[in-house]
This record gives sequence, C-alpha cells and structure tokens, in this order.
Amino acid sequence: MKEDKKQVWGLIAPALFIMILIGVIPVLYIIYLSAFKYNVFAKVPMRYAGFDNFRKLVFDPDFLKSLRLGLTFVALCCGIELPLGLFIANLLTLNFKGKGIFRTILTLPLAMAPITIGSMWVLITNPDFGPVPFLFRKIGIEYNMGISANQAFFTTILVDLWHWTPFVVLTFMAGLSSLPNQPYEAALVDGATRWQTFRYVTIPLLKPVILTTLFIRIMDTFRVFDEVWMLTSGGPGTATRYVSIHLVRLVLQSMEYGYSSAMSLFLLYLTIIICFFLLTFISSSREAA
Amino acid sequence: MRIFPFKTNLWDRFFFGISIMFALHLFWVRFVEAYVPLYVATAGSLVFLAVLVITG
Repeated sequence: MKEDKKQVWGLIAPALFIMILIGVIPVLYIIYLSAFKYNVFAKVPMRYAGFDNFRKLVFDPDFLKSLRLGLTFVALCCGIELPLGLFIANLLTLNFKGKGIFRTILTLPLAMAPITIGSMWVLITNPDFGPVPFLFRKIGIEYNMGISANQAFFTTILVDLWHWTPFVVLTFMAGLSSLPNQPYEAALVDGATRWQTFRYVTIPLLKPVILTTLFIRIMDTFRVFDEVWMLTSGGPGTATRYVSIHLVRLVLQSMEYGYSSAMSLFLLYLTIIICFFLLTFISSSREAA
Repeated sequence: MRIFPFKTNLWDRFFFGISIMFALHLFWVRFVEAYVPLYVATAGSLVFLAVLVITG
C-alpha cells in the first residue's frame, strides 16, 4: 500500500511540479505584488502599500467602466451564443443534403487563431473597402466603427459570435447525440408536440452540457483580448475597453505593477466566484439527472 | 445549525469564507471606511470565517 502511494506521487510529481511552477507561483507573486506600490521604471524603490491598491481599484472610474463593459459583453455573447448554438445543433440533427459540408464550414472559425480573426475582421469592416460598410451603405446606414462607439461594441460581439458559436454547436451536438432514446419514445407515445419534447425532454437532459458550455464561455468571454485588441484596441475612446484590454493598457502605459496586480487579482476572484457557483449548479444538476 | 443549504466540506467552507471576506473588505473600503475603520471589517470577517468553518 505504501509502495503504491509512493508510485502514485512519483507519477503525478512532474505534472504537479509544472502546475505549481506556472500556475501557483505566479498567483502567489501577484498576491505579493498587489500589496506594494511598484513601478519598474520609477526611481523610488518598491514600497509596502497594504490595501491601498484595492482602495484605489474600487474608486477607479475607468476600471469600473471597463468592468461594466466586460460584464455586458459576457452577458450579450453568452446570451446569444447559447440559444443560437442550441438551435443550429438541433438543425444539424436533421438529415439534409450537404450536411457534412455545412458542418465542416461551420467549424472552420474554430481552427483559426483569434489574432488572425481580428486582422481579418479589420479588413472586412474597413470603411473604405470592407464588404460590411459597403452593404450597410446600400441600406442607408453609415458604418464606421472607428468613430461610432455603439458600432464598435456590437462589432466585437458579432466577431465573438462568429468565432465561438461553432464551439457551442459542437458541444451541444455531442450532448444531443449522447441522449438516451427512451424519454423521446415515451414523449411520442404520450402525444407530445415537437416543442413540448424539446422543452420538457431535451432541455432538462441537456442541462449539464448547457451549464458546462456556459461555464467555458463565461471564462473565455470575460478574458477576451486578441480579437478586440486587433479590431479596435479598446476604442473608439473607451467603448470596447474590456477588463483585459484595460489591464494590458495599464501595464504597458503606466507600468504600475502593484496596482495592475491588484486588478488581476480582483478579476481572478470574480472569475473563480462565477465558476464556483456554476460548478455547484453543474454538479447538483448531474446528481439530479 | 447549518449556514449553507447544501452539503459542504471543510475546503468549501474555507473557500466561501475567504471569498466573502475579500468581498466584504472591498465593500467596506468603497462605502463604509469613511465612517468606520477597515480593522472592524477584518475582525468581523475573521469571526465570521471561524463560525463558517466550524458550523458549515
């Protein structure tokens, strides 16, 4: 028994070591830095600041605005992606001609790097030669996300939907294909309509998959960076300056490492709290299923 | 008497306690610190953490 334990620890030790090295130590360093006033290029040395960085954080209007923007972005993206993904996944369970090709095309955005997607959409939405402004002009709308805050905000949402809805579709398709047949046969015998079957059989059975996908998407959209950075760099003004973009700009421009660490710690805290509650829901729904 | 309506282990309770402690400190700094010092929040949340971990 003792030998077995030794072997188990020996086997997981390399992975554990890497996890501690790249996961735990940086977080501990961030916790340490968040209690200091530290600017790399300043003449003054690192100075203990206690809770001051967090004090500054809760009164920082720019940070609070970026947090509000980020949460709106998360709510809108997840609120659209999940129903849309479920709808498309349900459509893909039907048999129609060209289904295979459609499915392949649908998954193509997933194979692309976010930075490439950002550059591609910069060209697509270019007000001089991009097809999107051209089509909008045809219906009498002047589209220029370089000067319109609302257009820039909704373009970032559109890009995220375009990039990540296929992922939601794939997970829902995997979930749908693993559902048992018996409840559907029972619903058919009871004379349930297609909507009733979907509402009272498919959705409850799919609940763990829906919650898991929501969990992944919330984490991803909350820390969205590459696409938005390439597309708008947080502009015009601060219209698309989501939390991660605000954080990077703060680190690169003002070099305030202590304050930035406090901010990252707060974001980590928010993400952990949201995920913890979602995981509790997921496990309780799994137990109920 | 249990505080949480669901089953928790020691780690869950400790995690919840630390999370609530952090949130309480941020809330205190933002809205209450002008009237009552932060030490009150620290002392109160430490007592709350102890109660939470012991009773669950």
